[in-house]
Amino acid sequence: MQHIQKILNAILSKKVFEYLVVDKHFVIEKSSMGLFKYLENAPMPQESVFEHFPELVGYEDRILEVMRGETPYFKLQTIKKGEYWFDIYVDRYEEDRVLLLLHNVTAFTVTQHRLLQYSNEQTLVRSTLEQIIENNQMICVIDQNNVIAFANESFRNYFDLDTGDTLSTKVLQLNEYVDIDDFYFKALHHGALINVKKQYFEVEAKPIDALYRLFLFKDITAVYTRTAALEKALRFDTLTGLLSRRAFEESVITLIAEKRSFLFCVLDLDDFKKINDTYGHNRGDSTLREFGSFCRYFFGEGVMMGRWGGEEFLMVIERSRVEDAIKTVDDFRKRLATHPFEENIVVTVSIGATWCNQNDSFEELFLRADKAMYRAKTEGKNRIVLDAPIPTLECS
Amino acid sequence: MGNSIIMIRKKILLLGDFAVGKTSLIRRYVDNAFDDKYLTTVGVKISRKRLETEGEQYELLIWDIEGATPFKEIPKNYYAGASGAIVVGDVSRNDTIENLQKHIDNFLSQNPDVPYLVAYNKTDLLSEAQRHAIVSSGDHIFTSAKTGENVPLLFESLLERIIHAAHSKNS
Ligand SMILES: Nc1nc2c(ncn2[C@@H]2O[C@H](COP(=O)(O)OP(=O)(O)OP(=O)(O)O)[C@@H](O)[C@H]2O)c(=O)[nH]1
Ligand SMILES: [Mg+2]
Repeated sequence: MQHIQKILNAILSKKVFEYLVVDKHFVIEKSSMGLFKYLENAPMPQESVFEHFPELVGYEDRILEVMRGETPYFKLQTIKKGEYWFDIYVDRYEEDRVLLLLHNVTAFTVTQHRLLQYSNEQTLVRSTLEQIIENNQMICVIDQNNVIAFANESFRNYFDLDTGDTLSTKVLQLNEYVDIDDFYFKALHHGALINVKKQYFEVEAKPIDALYRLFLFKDITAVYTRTAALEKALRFDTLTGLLSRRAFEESVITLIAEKRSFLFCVLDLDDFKKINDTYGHNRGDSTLREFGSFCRYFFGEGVMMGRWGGEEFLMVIERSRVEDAIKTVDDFRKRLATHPFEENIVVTVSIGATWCNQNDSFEELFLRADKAMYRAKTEGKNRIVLDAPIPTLECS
Repeated sequence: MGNSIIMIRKKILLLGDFAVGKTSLIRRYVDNAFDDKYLTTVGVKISRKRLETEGEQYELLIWDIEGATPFKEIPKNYYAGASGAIVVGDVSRNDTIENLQKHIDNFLSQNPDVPYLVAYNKTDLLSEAQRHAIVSSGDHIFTSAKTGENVPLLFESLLERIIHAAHSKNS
């Protein structure tokens, strides 16, 4: 025993081990002085070892086997007690006693812990990414040259793109975003909307690091078409199918801002009250409807027309010369007068026109054209009146 | 030793893949607390919880074992002398659910006929419909360490099984 005690003292002097001696009733006989540093309550002789080491509950049989010399020592690895980790060795110590050696492995375990933490976190990130990928969202990652470094299957299939292609070539060329940075910025901050192959996508972007950017494409076609239908309803006058008052005004304001040359007209159907009085309101409505179709048929996309209210309409016709614009509008007026409406009603229109000058506002245009329209009425209806003589209206 | 109340100590294990919420379930049960931050467990840490059932005093010695990863084996001798186990899966990570059976088999190979329960944890992340969609075999309890849902029930049901297993063994 002297021998063992010597070895023990040698080990303990290195201060990485603490020990307890436990008898066959699992009662503590003695322990090293250093233990109190690690345990909340220092173990006292005559206490049950399980009080201080509940880790050993369940190992009673094995402890007894070691004690009787039937099996060699056993070890429990990396047991945390307070702020420390220990490997616990249970070894034979004289007859009817075991020695519990506690090896402080904290320094080693802390390093291991850091590695494990890092590796587990990485695995979690990867599995989250895989989940997004499996989620049917379209994903691609591009490098600083706009070249696709990664694209998931649904992205590759839908856009017919693979790694090595650039994102702008096939996907974005179809859209208003010419510049990839422009698109990225929009997608990063508000989500960008794009339309590819009749589907609508909301695109979100995220930086991955200094070099890579991630794009997530969410198919919102269903929502978008519903919203678009709603917007269309607000943009167009339901009866005539021409632009609504608000939409027309907004479009004219845009044209003014873009300094475009155009003729602005106010149109008022002649003697419309008579139609209402003679044939009733329903006939009035259907006449307006038919007038709308006639206008859309006559002008196609070339002319912008809106309903201002009642039987009053507005028109903008873009030409570089006033005479050409006037001629087109007058042709329209003449054709209208010969067009047979239902029940052979004849519809004519009085038109006031004005040329858009630099710095005109919508209100100024409207006032001038409206005045001219009244003149057309007083001068006998079914005619076009320009608010000023043509020569002064030449434009570039 | 000089104490008239007899405390029955039971060793129970929490097993499962890493980050499924083993530590969080124990923390919720023992301290009624929860933390969103992930701090992985290395090795083993034991928590104690006392409770009284059927007129007897129990002390659960709950082994919080480092989660299984593909890179490292869990020492088998941790399993020795266990009275029961809770095998935990994370409902938001399918692979952790698929691995449940592997953990059960490992446990039973060391402790044949010892009762265990399966916890489907993090149910706060699921909708009701998703919950119904989870197909499972055997005994399982839906839990959330975050909200505390079914957490005491989980541990108490296991203890109940442990007690009944002991009774049927004795008779
Ligand atoms: N939403 C939610 N998150 C949870 C729940 N339980 C645990 N978590 C979170 O999941 C992460 C992992 O939880 P832990 O309890 O550390 O998991 P563990 O199984 O002990 O992990 P290892 O020790 O690495 O094996 C932490 O960020 C927890 O906050 C839960 O019920 N709901
Ligand atoms: Mg843990």
